[in-house]
Amino acid sequence: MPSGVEGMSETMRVVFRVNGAEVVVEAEPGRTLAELAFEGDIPLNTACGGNGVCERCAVVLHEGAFVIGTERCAVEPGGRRDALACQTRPAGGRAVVEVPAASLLEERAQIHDDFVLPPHLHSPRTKKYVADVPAPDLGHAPADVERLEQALRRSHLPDGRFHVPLPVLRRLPAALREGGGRVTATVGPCGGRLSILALDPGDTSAEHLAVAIDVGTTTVVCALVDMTTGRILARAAQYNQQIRKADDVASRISLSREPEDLDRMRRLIVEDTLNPLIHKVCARAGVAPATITRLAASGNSVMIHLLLGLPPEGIGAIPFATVVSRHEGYAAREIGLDVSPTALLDLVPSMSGYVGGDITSDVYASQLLERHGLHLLVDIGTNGEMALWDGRRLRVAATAAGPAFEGAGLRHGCRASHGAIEHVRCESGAISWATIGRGRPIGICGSGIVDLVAQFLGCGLLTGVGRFDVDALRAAGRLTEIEGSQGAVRACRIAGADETETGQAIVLTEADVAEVLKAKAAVFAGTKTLLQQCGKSFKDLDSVVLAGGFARHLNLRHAAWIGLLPDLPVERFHVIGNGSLAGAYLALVDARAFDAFDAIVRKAEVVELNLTPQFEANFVDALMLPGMDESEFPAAMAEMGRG
Amino acid sequence: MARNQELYDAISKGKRKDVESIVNKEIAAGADPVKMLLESMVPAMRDLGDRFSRNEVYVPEMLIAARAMQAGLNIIEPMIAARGHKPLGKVCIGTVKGDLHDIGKNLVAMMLKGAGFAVMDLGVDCDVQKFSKAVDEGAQAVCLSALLTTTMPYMKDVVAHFKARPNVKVVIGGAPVTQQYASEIGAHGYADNAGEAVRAVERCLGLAK
Repeated sequence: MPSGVEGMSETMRVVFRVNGAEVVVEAEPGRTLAELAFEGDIPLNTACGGNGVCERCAVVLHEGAFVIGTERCAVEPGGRRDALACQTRPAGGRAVVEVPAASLLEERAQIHDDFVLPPHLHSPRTKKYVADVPAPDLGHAPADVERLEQALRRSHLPDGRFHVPLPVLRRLPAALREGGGRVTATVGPCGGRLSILALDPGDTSAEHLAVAIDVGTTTVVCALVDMTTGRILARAAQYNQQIRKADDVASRISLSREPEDLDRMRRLIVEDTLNPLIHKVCARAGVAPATITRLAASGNSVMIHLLLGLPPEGIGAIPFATVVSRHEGYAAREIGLDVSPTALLDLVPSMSGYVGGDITSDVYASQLLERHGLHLLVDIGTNGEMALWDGRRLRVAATAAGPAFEGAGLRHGCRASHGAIEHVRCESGAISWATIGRGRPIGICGSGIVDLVAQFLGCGLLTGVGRFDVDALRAAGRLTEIEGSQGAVRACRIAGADETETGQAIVLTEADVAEVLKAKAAVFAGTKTLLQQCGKSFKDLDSVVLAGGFARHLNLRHAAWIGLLPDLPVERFHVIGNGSLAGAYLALVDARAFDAFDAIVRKAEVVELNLTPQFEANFVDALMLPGMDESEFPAAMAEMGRG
Repeated sequence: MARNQELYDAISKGKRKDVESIVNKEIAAGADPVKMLLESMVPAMRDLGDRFSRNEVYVPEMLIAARAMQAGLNIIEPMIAARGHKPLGKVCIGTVKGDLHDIGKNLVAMMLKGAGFAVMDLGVDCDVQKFSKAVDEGAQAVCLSALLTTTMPYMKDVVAHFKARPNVKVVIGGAPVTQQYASEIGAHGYADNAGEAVRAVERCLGLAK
């Protein structure tokens, strides 16, 4: 044993600060903070099994002596040192360690469906009102609906006639009879008027359900919302089944040219994707789909057009015109959604054909326009969309980043799901990785790709133009050649055939790196071009908001090393998760949301990057690692030891 | 004058500033710009295109090199024009109507220049009239680019328009474009990458070796 262990005091104590409470654990020598936390029943997230790879067990050391990896360190009382719990051992005396909520298992990000909400007033778009409707008598027999309206007015609803759709009217006599005169009306705005969206016999006000939907090109997420409390009762996600026909937005437009093809696309999203998801969330919460009376969806313009069965062909070519941009109160039944026959669907309005309602949602959910100073929002998916707010003007743009960061188009790329390598650590030639769900790897997803390219660049296995240093790769024993359609391609072996789920080695090829370079260059050049338009540069940014599932798992420093995101201190980045789903959720429970969406859309100035002269120069500059102008990446260069 | 290896390497590696300083230095020392173009610059781009076709170089490096080449061309092009140097042929190139993507098209334009062609770059969102006008001005080949499946069908209109002028050759390419589509619409040539584009144009104009 090293002499340091002998020198330890008899009693060693670790005080964990968790969720405002303190948990004290008696520590045996040689054990890691992660092991000690488990002993104290602290549900620390060690997704990689304590291998120091996933960096999810990040803690803050506030006091005590520690050994981090092999390095000894002492933290004075009240001090601060970031460390990974699984790589840190207490080394005597009393230690104080803070466990942030983000490092706990319960708080763990779920794929695609986690989001951060801004402060908002809970004011649901539809409400339930219980009305006691007096029975008619022979002397005074106004119509059923008039007596219902009178009763509703007594429930503090505004004066005036309600819009009552025919299916609700048809239900009215039976509901009155079954409830003995007591009915529950679901009331909400529709086309500028208050409408009775549903009518139940008796008092059903305890159960008021709605569904928020994020319609992604690749993934669709549904959340079942309790409108009374705002609580999310269940969530579910699955691939947009239109993927069976085409991966990208432009191809889906091409495949929807004929009316029967358009209808097939609509059915793929409605019948094969949304309805199964609605059934799934309802089953999880133990409720019937027919009790859902309101829905809100957010997505890019093409996905929304296909959902509504609108021809998207205008978005396919200059000037990228949409059929509609602002839409509220569609009858869910006309769309084919399997919910209450009188339910309504609202959609978050879009800014343009390529900057859709999903970005409007991001802007609102992140409160971008409430911020003072200069703020950038980036949503990286199949397309990279960005918004720049300078306190006065909102410039938005879309760029064809390509699907590399979704793991598509790469030899062993995969989506961020079970078995995907999501984090990689390279240290002195050794490569270790962590997969989602801890299973054997099936491929590498976007965050893992960024880790790989960044660290390969940092340790010299990759050159500034994205080519392998063949000698270094051979020396590391990782050089391999892969037969491609046009001859052999050089590749680096990440996981051996004996280690993977597929029984096939997982590699990163030079062609993969080239795809990553194109994708990251599109995002970086897009943001740089927007900044140039208002005479600013990266260092002027007060914050960078990152939306989308990919960014949730991204190592921000590695993203700066490869020149995907600006080289700014991590505190300036705000990761908001699935902002699109957050926008759909807010459309349901925040009565101010639609006015705010409209204000965002009115303010947005769409910058057509391909018509902006600097964009191409910025793009070619950004094809280098980290970029042509290394002075844009001072901290990254220093961290990589190349400063 | 044989190949200037320094200039050749600077282009191959995409070192734009080096290319500019070498070209300026050579010109100041009295070098012949036409020879410099044909013996150092054109071979650098051509070799890079060949390596690209063999999967030894990828798009990012090609774009970086093309920009270095363009920097050198910007200096010598006016001098070459003044000397009445005769290009290999004259071609026009543009991204078709409805489409704004031009980075791929610009790379092909660069490769064609690098191969010794006079290139009329018509930009993006080009309709039939634009291509037709370029042909009236002497273009022997029309190169069409489209990056979207939604804009690709316009290529058919352009090909149909030039059916009446059999001397004009139409060559097409771009991400969604395939050899099958090219044959289907009756284009004279097709290329699936920038290096191949030069050979496709040369073949159409009867210049290929």
